Amino acid sequence: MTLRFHRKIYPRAAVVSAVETYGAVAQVALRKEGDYAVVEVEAGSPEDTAEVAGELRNWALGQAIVLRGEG
Amino acid sequence: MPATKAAANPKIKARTSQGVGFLSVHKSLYPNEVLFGTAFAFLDRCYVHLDVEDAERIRVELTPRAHSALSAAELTGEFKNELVNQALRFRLAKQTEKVRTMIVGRAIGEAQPDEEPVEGARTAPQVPDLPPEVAKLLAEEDDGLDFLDDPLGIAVPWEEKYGKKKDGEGAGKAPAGK
Repeated sequence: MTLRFHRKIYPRAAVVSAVETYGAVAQVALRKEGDYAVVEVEAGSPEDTAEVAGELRNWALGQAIVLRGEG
Repeated sequence: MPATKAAANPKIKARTSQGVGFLSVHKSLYPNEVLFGTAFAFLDRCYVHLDVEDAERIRVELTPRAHSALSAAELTGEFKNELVNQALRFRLAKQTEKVRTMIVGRAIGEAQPDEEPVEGARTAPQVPDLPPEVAKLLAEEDDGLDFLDDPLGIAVPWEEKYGKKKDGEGAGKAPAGK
């Protein structure tokens, strides 16, 4: 599953934190494409992949909001 | 009747597709602070993803968790309600910022102890809510003692008390253990 995080909303530190956190439970790869940080997530079954991807997105968003000081 | 400009380009758009709720929020309606505060509040209810739609709009994706009691449509509706709530909180915070800063600053300032003692004040420590006789006893006990006094030699380092002397003489006699 491919996730895209726009740099204007998600600071790089937030995405990296999410990748490091969920890299322990799934295969996670990070790369940059223009204004987006692209994360590839693979966790075996489609259900598990969707769940890990969703939690990774929430983690990244939570970190982004905290880093912005708005949480 | 011709369509109004607002109707042609609403500030907020919402739809659901394939079990996912989508909102498009114009920044003039809800600033980023409001949007992020709302998104933060929904992190425990569903999966939330934000993206830049264009220079003026942010797109929000709300995906229900597996076995969630809320549908995408319900989440979308709740999100719109929470946007209003967060917008009000944001407005109130801005309106009261100066007053709150003043109150906190005054509270901190008043919590600082006075640097100079008031003339004619008693030397006894100001301990509120103590019976008068207890306060008097405390004052008498403290009168003859300065905090630098060390009658039992507790603050003297062990090496200074019992260590070897520099000219090679034997060590001081340590107290016998019990």
